[in-house]
Amino acid sequence: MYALQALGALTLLALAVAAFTPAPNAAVRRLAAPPALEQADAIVVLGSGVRAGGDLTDSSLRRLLHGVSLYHRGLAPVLVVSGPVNRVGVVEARVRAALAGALGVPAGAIVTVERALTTQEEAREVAAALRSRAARRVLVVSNSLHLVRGVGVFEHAGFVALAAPAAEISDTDDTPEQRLELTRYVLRELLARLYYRAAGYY
Amino acid sequence: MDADRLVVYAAIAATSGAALVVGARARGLPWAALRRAGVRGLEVIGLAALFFAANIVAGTAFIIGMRLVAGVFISVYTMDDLVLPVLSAAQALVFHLWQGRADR
Repeated sequence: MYALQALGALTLLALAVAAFTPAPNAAVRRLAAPPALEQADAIVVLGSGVRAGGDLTDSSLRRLLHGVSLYHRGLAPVLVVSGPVNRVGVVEARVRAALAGALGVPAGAIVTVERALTTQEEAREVAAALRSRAARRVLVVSNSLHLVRGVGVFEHAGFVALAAPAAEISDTDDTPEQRLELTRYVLRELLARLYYRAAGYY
Repeated sequence: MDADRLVVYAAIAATSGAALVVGARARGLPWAALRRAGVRGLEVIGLAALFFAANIVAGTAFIIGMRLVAGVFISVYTMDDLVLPVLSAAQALVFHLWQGRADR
């Protein structure tokens, strides 16, 4: 019983640190990939989900807008949009391609990757999709925490990968709810990095 | 901290104070029992943490098993659902109440 009481007290303490101190903000700053916006052969927007109704999720939309913005800044001549089919048959990559087209990206500059379900599969599928274009240098768009792993996986697949973080995670968030959300992002990403390292994906 | 954010904590402090008054005056609960209740509360939270960890491990093992054995892809992010800590807390509460009944 004492062990349970101690665990309960530790859990409460951890929750208090996560919600009421800047520790999660510091963790995000420590673990995030800094932007490396340089000229590249392609911009790769990693998938993040599409809702059953056909709308992109918030993070998917943020990533796409960032990718389109980088394209219009002339950082690369090709925009790769990734995202598989969801449970009702909507393909995220196609929704993104249509939106990118509506935002002024020419159809000939858009490449869709529709079958990849994980970051590691995205790197593999993007490599296959860009083979004919001989693209070596890619700007990878995702959230800043994910990009350490994302860039690593793309480097492992043979690319020179540059981080292009979209505005999904803010290390200045300071309400308890926002800090708990940051904690969730950090813990999730740390576990994913452990798994990817163990699996030899990067 | 912004003053408007204090509203949440003020509400919690006010209802906690009201509960103390109702418990002590209207229902005649002994003050000494409040400390024991706090300790029991810590036990429930500890149990909830255990259930939460067990649920994460069981769910992730199931997902990886489905990928390896059945070739069915389920995203590990499925386990990143807010319902998980809530249901883990419910599991802990029921288990703790069950244990309390058995100890009587």
